[in-house]
Amino acid sequence: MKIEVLFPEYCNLFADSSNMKYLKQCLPEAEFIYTDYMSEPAFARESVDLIYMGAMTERVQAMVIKKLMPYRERIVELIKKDTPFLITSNALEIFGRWIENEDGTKVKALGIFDFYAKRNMMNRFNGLVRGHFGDIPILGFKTQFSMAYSDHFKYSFIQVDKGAGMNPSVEVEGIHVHQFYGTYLVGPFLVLNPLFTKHLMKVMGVENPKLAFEPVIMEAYERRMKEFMDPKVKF
Amino acid sequence: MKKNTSGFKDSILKWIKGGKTAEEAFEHIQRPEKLVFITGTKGKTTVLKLVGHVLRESGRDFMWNITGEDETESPVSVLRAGKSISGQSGCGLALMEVDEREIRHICSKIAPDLLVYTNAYSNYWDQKGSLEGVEKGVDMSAFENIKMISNEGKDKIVSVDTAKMTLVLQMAEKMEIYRLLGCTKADLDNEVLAIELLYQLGLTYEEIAAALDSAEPFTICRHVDTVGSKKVFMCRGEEQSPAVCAHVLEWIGRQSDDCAVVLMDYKQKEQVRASENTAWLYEVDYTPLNRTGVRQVLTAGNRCYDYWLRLLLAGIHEERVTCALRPEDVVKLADIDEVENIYMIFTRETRAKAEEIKEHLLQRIKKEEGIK
Repeated sequence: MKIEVLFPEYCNLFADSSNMKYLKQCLPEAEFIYTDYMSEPAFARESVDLIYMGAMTERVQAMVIKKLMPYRERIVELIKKDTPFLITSNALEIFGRWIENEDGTKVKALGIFDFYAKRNMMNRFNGLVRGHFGDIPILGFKTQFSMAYSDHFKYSFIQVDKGAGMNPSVEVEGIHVHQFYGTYLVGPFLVLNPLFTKHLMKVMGVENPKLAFEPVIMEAYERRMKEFMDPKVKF
Repeated sequence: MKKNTSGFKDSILKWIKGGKTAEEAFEHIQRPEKLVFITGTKGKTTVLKLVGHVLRESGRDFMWNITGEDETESPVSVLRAGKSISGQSGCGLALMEVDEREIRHICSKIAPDLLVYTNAYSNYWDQKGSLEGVEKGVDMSAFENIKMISNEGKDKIVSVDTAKMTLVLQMAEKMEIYRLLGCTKADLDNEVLAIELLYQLGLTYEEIAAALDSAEPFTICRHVDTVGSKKVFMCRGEEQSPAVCAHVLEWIGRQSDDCAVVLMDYKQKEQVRASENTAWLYEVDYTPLNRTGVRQVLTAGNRCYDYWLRLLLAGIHEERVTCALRPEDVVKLADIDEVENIYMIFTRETRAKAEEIKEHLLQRIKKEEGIK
């Protein structure tokens, strides 16, 4: 099993790299390919079982778009072929149509999904999100300078029960198409959502997925769930 | 005759109502001959205090905004007052600690001659792309015309001897030996930064080296209580600050004792009205707690399971982790027979609870060691 982590030297903000650290504990036999910015992505020449990319700075977003643009068609092909992707935080914006700056200028993105992001660097949005993906409850944190907009969010990942979606006026969060999972939720998303981690391992082809440190991660998850269900907790 | 005080009243009211504009706050500042700003996510006060010590020892007068052990005054107020440490007005040198979130704004109002940026390691700018903590997409072009000193000058370090506590630097084509003030990476970065700044301020090697000999060594722990054969160290972390917490853990990792570590550096306020964003926990390096001497790590409070999981991911054996959902339970769960020292890592918000637990721990140690 091969897992490709894209540009870990840049796409590691908000502890997003912990997603792969945890997955490594769950899948000790898997081969993790850490592709640096100067190298050709492994997915370009071979099939991989998961492609991961995490949060980055705004400057790096432009660099990553430039780097991935030549592989756009290959990425589309992989998505259509059900290759699993996990894309967290503002890495999701790379796959949208464009990223708009406050002055109206636009950074053209890969244009794979029909949404765009709008930055507001003077207002950082922080919040909690409680939602669900099918019957899997999802918990997470948002910390971002941008919001995503579209006429329709047809391929949403998470139905938001509490908190902000792709922007504060919609109740859907992230993108889910085939086995592409993209979300603005930051930090160790897989650590915070062990049930989704199990689901992800299944779509990656793991027959009987086992969570690392299962009793502790489930205890932490249930505790957080209790907090997120508390009506006093502000989102 | 009645004094016309309406203007005065108006300005006081404006001030109270927060009506004073940023521009007005910078009015009437008499610019010192040399203005130095020290900023960064960690180490500002340490660098400033060390530089202040050396300047004092070498007989220099200066202004600064340190007002207490870890307290600072607004740089603008200090500059407006214009008083040096010896009470003189019109002093030529001002050293100001500036919050990293305010540095861009302050630099745009009054540009320093030197900007010292702490905690910026090699390739920092390439990786982060912006000033960590400013978090508003500020890039370094904001400081293009200001002379800057940062940890990127670490290539000056030739050798570090933690046994003899010495540090050798390559400065201007000659080797210089200094007293080493602390053993962690952050300590070293801070000391080198301070030395570089002192050189820029015109001090000689002899002056700097002599003053460093009398400087207080860098310390992580605030207070140590000794009862019988055991010690309880109180170490202050900072809420959700990976850099500060990692520094404390690195220091504990460098000790050679048998110890227990109590983690209480969570953000307590968050737990009252919200659930804490725990992403920061995953930016802290917990691997220093992997050393054999760390017999037990007690994770306290609501975040105890998050800590526990984080420790497991850092490779710390499950048997060495003890979870105390009620922080008070640390007192009975600590394996005090197994350890010489207990390190309690707390924050401003958890300080009172940590102090209370420490007192009970000390009582338990006294009781078990038969000390009256």
